[in-house]
Amino acid sequence: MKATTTMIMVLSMVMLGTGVGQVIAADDVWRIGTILPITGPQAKNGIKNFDGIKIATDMINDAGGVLGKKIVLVSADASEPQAAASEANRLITNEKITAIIGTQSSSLSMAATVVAEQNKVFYIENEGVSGQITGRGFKYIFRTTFSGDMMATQMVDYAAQVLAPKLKKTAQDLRIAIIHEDGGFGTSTGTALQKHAKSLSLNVVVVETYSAKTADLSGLVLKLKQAKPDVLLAAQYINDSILFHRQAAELRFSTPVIGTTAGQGNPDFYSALTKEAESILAGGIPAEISIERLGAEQKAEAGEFVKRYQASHNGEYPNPTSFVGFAGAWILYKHIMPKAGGLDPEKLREAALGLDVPPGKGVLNWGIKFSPPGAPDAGQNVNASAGISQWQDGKLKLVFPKEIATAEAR
Amino acid sequence: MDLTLFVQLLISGLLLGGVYALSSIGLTLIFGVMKIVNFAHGEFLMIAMYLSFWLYHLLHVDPYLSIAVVAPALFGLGLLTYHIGVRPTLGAPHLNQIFVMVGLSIVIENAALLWWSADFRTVTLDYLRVQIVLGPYPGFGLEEVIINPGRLIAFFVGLAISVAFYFFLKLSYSGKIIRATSQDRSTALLMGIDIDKVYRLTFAVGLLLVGVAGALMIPMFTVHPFVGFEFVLVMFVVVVFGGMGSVAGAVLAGLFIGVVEVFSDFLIGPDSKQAVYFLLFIAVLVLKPSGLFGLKGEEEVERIEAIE
Amino acid sequence: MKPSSSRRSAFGLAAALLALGLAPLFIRNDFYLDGFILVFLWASFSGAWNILGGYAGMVSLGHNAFFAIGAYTSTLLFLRLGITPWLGMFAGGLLAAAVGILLGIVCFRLRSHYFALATLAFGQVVFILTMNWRGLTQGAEGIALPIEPSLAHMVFASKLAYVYLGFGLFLVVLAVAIAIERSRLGYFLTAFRENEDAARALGVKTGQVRLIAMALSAFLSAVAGTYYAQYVVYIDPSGVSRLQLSVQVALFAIVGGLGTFSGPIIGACIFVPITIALRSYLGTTAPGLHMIIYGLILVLTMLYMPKGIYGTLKARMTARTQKESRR
Repeated sequence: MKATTTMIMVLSMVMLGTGVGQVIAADDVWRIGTILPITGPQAKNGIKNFDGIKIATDMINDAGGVLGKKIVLVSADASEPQAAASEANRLITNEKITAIIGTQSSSLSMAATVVAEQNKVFYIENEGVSGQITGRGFKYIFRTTFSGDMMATQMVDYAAQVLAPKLKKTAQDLRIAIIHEDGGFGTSTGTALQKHAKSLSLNVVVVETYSAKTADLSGLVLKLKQAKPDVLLAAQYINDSILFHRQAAELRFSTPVIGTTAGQGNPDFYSALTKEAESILAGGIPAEISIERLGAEQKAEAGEFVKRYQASHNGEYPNPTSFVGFAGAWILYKHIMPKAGGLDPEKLREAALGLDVPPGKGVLNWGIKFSPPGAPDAGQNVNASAGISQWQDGKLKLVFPKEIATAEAR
Repeated sequence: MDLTLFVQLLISGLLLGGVYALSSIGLTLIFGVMKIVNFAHGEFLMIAMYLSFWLYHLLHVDPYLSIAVVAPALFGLGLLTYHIGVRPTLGAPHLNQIFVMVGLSIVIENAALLWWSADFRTVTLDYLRVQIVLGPYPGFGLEEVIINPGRLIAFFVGLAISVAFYFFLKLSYSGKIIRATSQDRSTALLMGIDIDKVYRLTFAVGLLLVGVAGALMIPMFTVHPFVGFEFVLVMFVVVVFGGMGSVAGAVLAGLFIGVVEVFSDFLIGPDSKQAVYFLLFIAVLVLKPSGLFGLKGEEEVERIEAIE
Repeated sequence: MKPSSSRRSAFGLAAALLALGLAPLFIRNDFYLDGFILVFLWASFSGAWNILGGYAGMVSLGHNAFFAIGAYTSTLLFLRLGITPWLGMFAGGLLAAAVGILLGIVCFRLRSHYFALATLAFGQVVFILTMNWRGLTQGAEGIALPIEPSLAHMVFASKLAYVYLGFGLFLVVLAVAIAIERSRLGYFLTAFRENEDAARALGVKTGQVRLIAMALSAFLSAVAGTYYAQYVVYIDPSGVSRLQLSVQVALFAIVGGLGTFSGPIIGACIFVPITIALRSYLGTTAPGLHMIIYGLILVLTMLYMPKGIYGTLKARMTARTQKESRR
């Protein structure tokens, strides 16, 4: 009886080994790991992110690979933090991976990057925005995209510098409302919005959080209506932003909104709201890259990315999440790896820290410059601009900051 | 708070509640008759919403018309599920009943993820974009109050279905048999009622009702593989408030929960509104488990013997 | 029970535990060690759940609340007051026990389905709290623990240390389970589980007895939460207080064998490797497939092996012994 029990237990531990055993590292390819939520509540974004990374990989491989060797992705799925840590462990230990791209969700990132740091494995965080990711002083973690802080700063600055004069008010007279979904993305962005507004002595009249999964936001809309704000700063996902704007339109709440590309800047937003989406602003990376300002090479790359995406997605214009996912991988393949001569984490690190690419010459409309160790946001790409875009005649145009804008704000 | 705001909140709440009520009627029926909580009910709502979505997307069938397809489809699904998953566990400990349905919901959720991907799907009907405005009635101090057309339709259809179903239960032969089984199974058995048939019909009808709800809801709510979980929690709350087994109770409870949610949303904050009705839920379970309308002592259920 | 068979059982159990305990020493691979850690983590949490769900027969879907209380309490005490997690875990356990007792006082009068629903709602309320009481928990952003190895801080560089920490926790949970089974408390709980009215009629203080079970169950669940926090060195609502955690631990105990002390570890030993293997193999190629298989196992077990693996084997053994004794 107990022998049977023992047998069951030992057998199943052996099962752990079956099929997921050691991998003999092939020498003629570069093996790079990815950790993304392909299942679970973040699946939609995780898959889009992965699509972006895949296209970057295909593009590089079709052009001959990096230093003559092709890149092979070893992908892992994680829908919650402990799974992310376990998968990081597996990639590092069993698959002998020395560089990982991840993780979409900040909470997954927080768990996986710990494992990477402990094992001295190079890690590119390509979409998670929480300040905490780069706030721990880790040496091997590099975030290629803008942080929640950077995006929030742009949004508040826009309200103070562009919107206030349009409303014939000073920045300090502006009544600002902030809403955000209660997940990692919303919370870190919302906190950053409040922080930056406070630093500029702006008047924040109401801050509300809600669950992105809610079926109804009418109470929230009515509450905002009562507060009579001049501008609403919103950190939302696509689903809830559509719901919010619909209910806002219905309940006659017409305050200008500055959202984010996760929500208002997503092409699906315009498809759902059509003309009601006109003039709405979004911070982050614009869906339609203002390629006029890019260097020639970056322009071609962006164009190629869009072409390949449309080919595999029934002609759909790329999702911002895919763009950002692509960018992270591209920075690794085109800028960091060649300089490092391979996938040795120490060399990758050194190469990354040595980069100083101005905005517009990196990828999309970004530059590349990582904060050095010792800085409060060590590993953050400070040249990843999170501009403000606006829907104008069905297209998203970059309107702020002025230096990289391609259109006038309406 | 001025009158207009109050009325606006009230109406928004009632309309939201109508949707909750509609989706919960099937659940309360199943529990009332069979004494099992269908933990997978939310997943069936999701299936109905997806079905309606695909009919619209691929065949351009208006969601309201798609009920003609979705309702029977869900009825059939109910029969299938009953035979495979419910009937075998009727005599088993409640734990087994609970976890079979929990397991089923995990399977359905992830099958939807696998087949239909994680993308959010919506149906946007242009004719629903019209604004319905009540008032203003300056005489009463009331300014304009705005009503959502989609929810209004769902509200009235839901009401109509509830009333129709109520009379079905009260007056028709099948309805009487169902009620008899619900009230006293042993006696019903002695009277020659085929309990298996009753259970099968009940479960299938329960799913049919949630199928109708799904078709009515897709014009207003997005569907994705995990939407079932979000709705099922509210449905439990509604069913318990209304008294398990009481259709009228579910309707009233649904409206009540909708109003509570919108007012909490406004007064306390959107982040905590769910907590409010969960706490109320626990309070009702403990203080008046039979809900507003249920029979006293119903929560002390005896074990149902297996179908031979 | 014949003395020789119980001695045989004890010997078998010791042998199994010895095997499980010594195996990690021979494994150099961090991936497998991670597997052991997860097995012990979930077996401990599941074992804790089993005390209430299996022995007392009160199926709770809200145990994620206790796990979260443990994780957040020890972490916050450490980060804000400098109290070592070695002590913090007791604080977390006691808090969870107190909350559990309160929950029990309020909800024990409810039967099965209703009790499950009430605990579900309770678990959700705690989840909402962890998301929204941002001043305390930092909401969805979560809390990062320091990663420098330090015995005083219960953070280790070597995975092996975590394996034995987890094994130790599991042994404690196992010991509690066996102690309950052998004690009068166990008999009272069984009596309540089998026939509540008869038990009451015989003078069993069913209320008190179940509250003790709840307190133990909640306490140990919280300690498991602390173990999680110290291993992943990051906690957030999705990691420690989501509903699926409750379902998972109930699942392990049920499939392994409800109300038996081996059930949880058997369940964990089956599901953890399967989850890891399926996720690694199929995670990105067929999203959701591993969860479908998970769900199917649960459904099939409920339909065809309702007593769980251990329970079914035990029943067959008993039947065989009975047959033999009749000859």
